[in-house]
Amino acid sequence: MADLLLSITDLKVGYRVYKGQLKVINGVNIEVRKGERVGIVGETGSGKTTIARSITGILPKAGRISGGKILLDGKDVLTMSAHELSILRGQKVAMIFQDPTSALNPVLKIGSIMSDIIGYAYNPDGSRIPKSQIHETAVNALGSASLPDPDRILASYPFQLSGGMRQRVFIAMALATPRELLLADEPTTNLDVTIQDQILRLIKTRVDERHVSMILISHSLDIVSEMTDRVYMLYGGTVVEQANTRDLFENPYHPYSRALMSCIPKLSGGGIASGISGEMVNYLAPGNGCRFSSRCSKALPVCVTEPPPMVEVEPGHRVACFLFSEKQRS
Amino acid sequence: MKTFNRAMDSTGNAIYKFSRNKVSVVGFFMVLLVVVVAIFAPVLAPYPKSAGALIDFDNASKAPSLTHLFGTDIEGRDILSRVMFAFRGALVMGLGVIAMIVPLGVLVGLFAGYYYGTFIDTIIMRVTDIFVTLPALLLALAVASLGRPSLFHSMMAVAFAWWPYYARLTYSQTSSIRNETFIKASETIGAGKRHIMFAEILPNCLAPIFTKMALEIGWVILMGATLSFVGLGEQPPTAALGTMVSDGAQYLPAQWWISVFPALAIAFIVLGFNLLGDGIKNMVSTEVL
Repeated sequence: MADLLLSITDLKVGYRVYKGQLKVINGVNIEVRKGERVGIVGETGSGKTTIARSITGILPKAGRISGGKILLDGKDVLTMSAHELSILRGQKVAMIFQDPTSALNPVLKIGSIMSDIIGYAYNPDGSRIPKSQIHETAVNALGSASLPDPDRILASYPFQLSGGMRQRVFIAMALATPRELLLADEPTTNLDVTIQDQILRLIKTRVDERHVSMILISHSLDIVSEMTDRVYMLYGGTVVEQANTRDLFENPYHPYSRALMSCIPKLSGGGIASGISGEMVNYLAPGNGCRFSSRCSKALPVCVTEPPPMVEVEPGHRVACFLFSEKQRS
Repeated sequence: MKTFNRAMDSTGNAIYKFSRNKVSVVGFFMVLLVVVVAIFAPVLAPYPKSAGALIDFDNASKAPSLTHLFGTDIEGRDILSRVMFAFRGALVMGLGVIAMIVPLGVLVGLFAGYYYGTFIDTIIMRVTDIFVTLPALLLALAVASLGRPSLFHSMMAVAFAWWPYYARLTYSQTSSIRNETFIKASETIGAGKRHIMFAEILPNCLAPIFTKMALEIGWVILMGATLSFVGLGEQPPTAALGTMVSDGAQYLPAQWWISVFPALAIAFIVLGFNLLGDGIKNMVSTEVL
């Protein structure tokens, strides 16, 4: 497909630890089209951040990509040289981190960080942004992130700004340059609720204005349902369900998705949700079967022994579950 | 000096932080005095000719008096004048060695820390470890005795023994900063190795480096004096504090002034730099005072 910006096929990522190999990401397939907003939802430890870090090549030292392909604009990120990768990053990718405090160099002023970022970016035609325009670009970017008094902010150190301002600054930086893919890794986790709402609105408007693609990573179903076009539901390092956002939230198929949705407290009452019993998968020995099988109320014998197939239940709505596969019916 | 300025909020703030510690202001004036005296020694010294090879047996071994405040040595040279001239060598020693070892040590440490966990790191750091296991003074003595004794050779010897400590300091800083999110962030946007090492990591290492540097100039001068005490530094007749102490040692305790005043001069200069170092430490700390 021509308008495919990012395609991840059969990605496998593990971490070396003292006790052995953590098999975290197990055969994940993700596609992002140009201008599309994609959400990746999953609970803590389901591998969301690992996927984001694999895309940008900033896995921790213990992390190892053991299989699969990550094609960014048709080029394989995993096989290219470090130099090519840094150029590609400069051209295509921007990332918003969970914690804007630790993602800004504490001894550099915002102005100098921004001029580095803008200076490292490329225009779509491969040229660099001229030095004379860097300041103007920075001021415009801060302005569009609704930050008042850009000049004062450019002259400040990160610790002189509030948490919400830092995240705004970060968004301004991420979208200051013509990059095509915005990776937002839990952009509002460390902010309080009122600021969270403002930041999400800001991301949404900026992404729409710039027509960039976005991958929003979050554990919050609310945020993902508001912000994205399409959702990948992640459990234990595997995609259990993928669909258009509306379809998935209105009509979840996978037992995990259903259990998760029923956990959302409703205003109409009904008491505290029951939650999902059991524990997260043990990544050291995840077994061959469906990783949710040990907690699944509808688990079949086959679920424990064989990996579930990806079944298209409706056009564009895929579920990785034996409950919906031919195998189970026969 | 762009990065240096980045490490401080503003000159005014830096001066304020420095002046909060009165003792460091005293240190600053002590160092200033030494520097001024060293520069203007030919003008300020009461007997400028005493700096070189002067023999004046009429005035030999005179006790401190109004004409010779610090007394004279066995060749009749004025000790005060000689101390003033010896400050020159001491300052060249301290500043010169620091100017050699800090860039070298920092570069090595930065490089090894950036490649933390790889064989580059292993090789560089094991070599520095070997240096560190040898007592610095012994190593410096050994190296200094290889060549013809001179001030320059003794500086090289001290530098040779001292740089690994800067490499290790920078290395430990770099290897931890390397994994901070903001480094990952700048990698994500396509920053290269050079940018990450020098523009992102280095500014974060500067505060401890400056602190160590400021606190150690005094110790470097002391080590230089030690080398010249055993005859491996500046050669006679040029005045050197260590040589003056050792020359007078055999006339102790009767003609105590020959050794004691140069020794006090060493103490003065080392103390001055150490107190100044404390002030600089406050100045570069990011703590909001």
